[in-house]
Amino acid sequence: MDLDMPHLDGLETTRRIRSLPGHAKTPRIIAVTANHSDKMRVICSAIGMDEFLGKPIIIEDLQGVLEGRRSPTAERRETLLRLRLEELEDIGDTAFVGELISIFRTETTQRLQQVGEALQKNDLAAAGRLFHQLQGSSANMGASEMHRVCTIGEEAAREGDALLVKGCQRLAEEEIPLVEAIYTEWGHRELL
Amino acid sequence: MKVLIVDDDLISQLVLKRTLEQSGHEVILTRSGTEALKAFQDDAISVVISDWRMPEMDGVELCQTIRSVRKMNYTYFILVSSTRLTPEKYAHAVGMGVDDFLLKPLNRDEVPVRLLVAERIINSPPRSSALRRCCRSACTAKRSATTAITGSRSRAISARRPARTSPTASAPIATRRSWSPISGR
Repeated sequence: MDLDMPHLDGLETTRRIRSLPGHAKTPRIIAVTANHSDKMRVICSAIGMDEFLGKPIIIEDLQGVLEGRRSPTAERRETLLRLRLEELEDIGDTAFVGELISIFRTETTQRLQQVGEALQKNDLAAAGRLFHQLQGSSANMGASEMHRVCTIGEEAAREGDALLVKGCQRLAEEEIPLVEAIYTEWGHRELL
Repeated sequence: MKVLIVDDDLISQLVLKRTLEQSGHEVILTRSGTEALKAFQDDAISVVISDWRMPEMDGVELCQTIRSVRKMNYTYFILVSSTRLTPEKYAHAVGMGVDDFLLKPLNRDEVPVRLLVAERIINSPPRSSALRRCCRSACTAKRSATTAITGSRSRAISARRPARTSPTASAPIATRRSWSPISGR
């Protein structure tokens, strides 16, 4: 679905489709836009779109999305994460990275939960502060996508966009298991 | 060097601390601007590395406060941010006395190199020549002033002249340098 359309744009259409009974997940919606900024990607995802393609459409990317192949960006993100862990190991040692991972696990879950609580109280300033802290820690831990989502979440909190803050919280939560998988794999790598 | 770290995020603190310790620096950890100011007054700190966005007092406010404290030696201030600063914010930070900027995630190779720059600036030769200049003008002023008390009125005017041409000549070096670390280079 194109995003930029007259009268009813792609975001609003998606929002309405997703609010229909039984359509929270289906159909899969692929956003197509000339504005392929990170912010737009996160907004699309927060509102309920499943995939994101920039214009001009590259046939191979479209095929990849339709076949449910993992996007090259996702793979690149994982590589960056692994590289960051190696870098952190160079700064300290294996135990140091283990300590950081354990702090990051606890803090991230806790902070995202607090974002939820802040949203319930309509306290966007508190949500923004939490996103800011998450932004710092996720950047340091190589969780680049979480870092991006939190950056946009902080910005949205500042702009008073509660809906986008909520979307960012959900996306950040969805990011946890992906990051977690790499951390676990890294923890076991010596044993392999 | 003795480095003061100011960050409300534990992970950022730990990563930076390890990086600095690895290159032989002594590190003091603080979690807020208030804590940092306390540590700053108690200790001989050469470099402050502070996060930009923190609750209560942000990094730029902290820098401004630190600049208002008179210290014998120059304190090099590095501001850390998670996102790129806008040109306005960047200019504001520099105006408030920030010397250098770092972006998270902090790079293991970059941080020690930036500290080499800090070290060079803190120990830079212009500082000692500024010191000599300052001593010289202070001595001249003192000599002229002594003459002025015992001598004629015309001599008394010449005694005031150095103070007029250089209003900051008698100000402590730290105060003058703190305004513009760049011009001293």
